[in-house]
Parts: sequence; structure tokens; C-alpha cells
Amino acid sequence: MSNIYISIIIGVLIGYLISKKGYYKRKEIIEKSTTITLLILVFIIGVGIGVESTSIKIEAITIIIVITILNIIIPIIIEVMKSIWRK
Amino acid sequence: MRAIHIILTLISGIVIGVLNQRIGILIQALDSILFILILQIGIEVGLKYKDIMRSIKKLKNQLHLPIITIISSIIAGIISSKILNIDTRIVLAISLGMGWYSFTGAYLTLKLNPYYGAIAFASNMLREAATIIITPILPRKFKKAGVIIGGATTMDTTLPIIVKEFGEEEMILALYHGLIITLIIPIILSTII
Repeated sequence: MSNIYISIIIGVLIGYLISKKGYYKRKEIIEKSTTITLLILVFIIGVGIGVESTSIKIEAITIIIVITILNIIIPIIIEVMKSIWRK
Repeated sequence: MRAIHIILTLISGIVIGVLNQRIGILIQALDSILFILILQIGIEVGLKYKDIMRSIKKLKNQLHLPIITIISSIIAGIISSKILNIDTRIVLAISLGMGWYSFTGAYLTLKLNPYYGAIAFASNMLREAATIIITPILPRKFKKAGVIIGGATTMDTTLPIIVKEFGEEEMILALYHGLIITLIIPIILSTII
């Protein structure tokens, strides 16, 4: 999805140019517009969940729990191992 | 933005989606909205360019932290796919959302289906909530684990809790970490799916 790469690069460049020009007041406007986009995105995700609600089973909850727990445990294990390694 | 706004927006979307199946056509607009969101996030990162440069100078020995975050998410994804017996690519994409639930949820809805989009959204939102709950109980020795769990959220929503628990000196690390992860997530996800 080359669109993603292009939009990141364009975005960073625009942001950099704005900061160079010192238009910091625009920062607030950009942050507010990001919030609006985010809420629109969350709303559409909600619509997607609502439309597909009949097909979402208990299996989904298991997937969510397993992935989340592992994403919490593994960083802690890595940090513990690092501290043991240093000793 | 408060979590309550996101939850209320999500619930209203779900209710409208259940009541009117035809509104599902809105999902087709996700592609353009994702493009706009990435552009806006890019602008925000560009605006913080000076802060990033300043933080890089101060973080000589800790620049590798985002790499550890990515590796730990990959390990979590691979183990999860083995446990759940689901396509590794899908589980990796959910895991590598690294807390950015709005992007990962929308991206997987668009690229796969709303089912996996909903799972990615919930899993990454829980990751953010877990950071807020777990960071205060982590021993100072393992404070970096709190930043790793926080993923992309360490530059905004979980930044105050990291600063409160580990001190001002960790603020630069959390900010740098969150920025790098935020920039990397769209690239990684578009490579996987």
C-alpha cells in the first residue's frame, strides 16, 4: 500500500515546514482535526462491528485476551531476562 | 481526547450498524479516512521534529527500545497464532498494532473484514488500558517494560502515567519511543497484509 508511505512522508514534510515557519498556532488546529478524523474512524469501525455482530462469536474474545496477555507478559519477560543477563 | 469519547462513538457506531445494515456501505470510505489520518499523524510528527532531534541526542544508549517493542510484538503474535491456530499473518498484524487501535482496527476492517478489525481494535485498546493499570505496579528496575507495553500510546495517552511513575527523565524516552512506533506501524502493517 504505497499510499501509506507517500502520506507519511508528505505529512512529516508538511509538519516540518510548518514548524520551520513557526506557525505553532496551527498545531492546535491540526490536533483537533486529527481528533475528528479519529472519531469518524472509530464510528465506522463501530458500524462494521454492528453490521457483523451476528458473526462475532466467543472465539473473538479468546483471540483478544490471548494476544493482549502475551503482549503484556513478553515485554516483562524480556526486561527480566535483560537484568539477569547484565548480572 | 478522553477514552469516554471513543467508547461512546464506538457504541453509537455499533448501535447504528445493528439497526441499519445498509449503513455498512460507510466501510468503503475507510480507505480515504485512513489516508487522511496518516497524513495528519505525519504532520504532527513533523511538527515535533525539533523535539525528536533533541531527544535522540539525549538517548544515546536507549535508541534501540522501539526495536525491542517490535520484536516482543512479533514474538507475542507468533505464540498467539500457535495457541489460537489462526493465520500467523493476521495475528501478527493485530499484535503489531502496538496500541494504535484506531489505525489497526480500521486497516484490518478494510484489508480483511470487520470481524478482524473489531478484534484488532479491542486487543490494542486493551493494551493501552493494560499500560495504565500495569505501569504503576511495575518495579522501577523493569520500567522499560511499561514503555514497551505502551507501544505507540507512549507519545500521548500513556505518557502522563509513565512520567508520573518513572519521572521526568523517562518522558523523552517515552515520547521518542511513541513517535518511532507510530511512524513504523502503518509501514509494517502494509507489508504484512
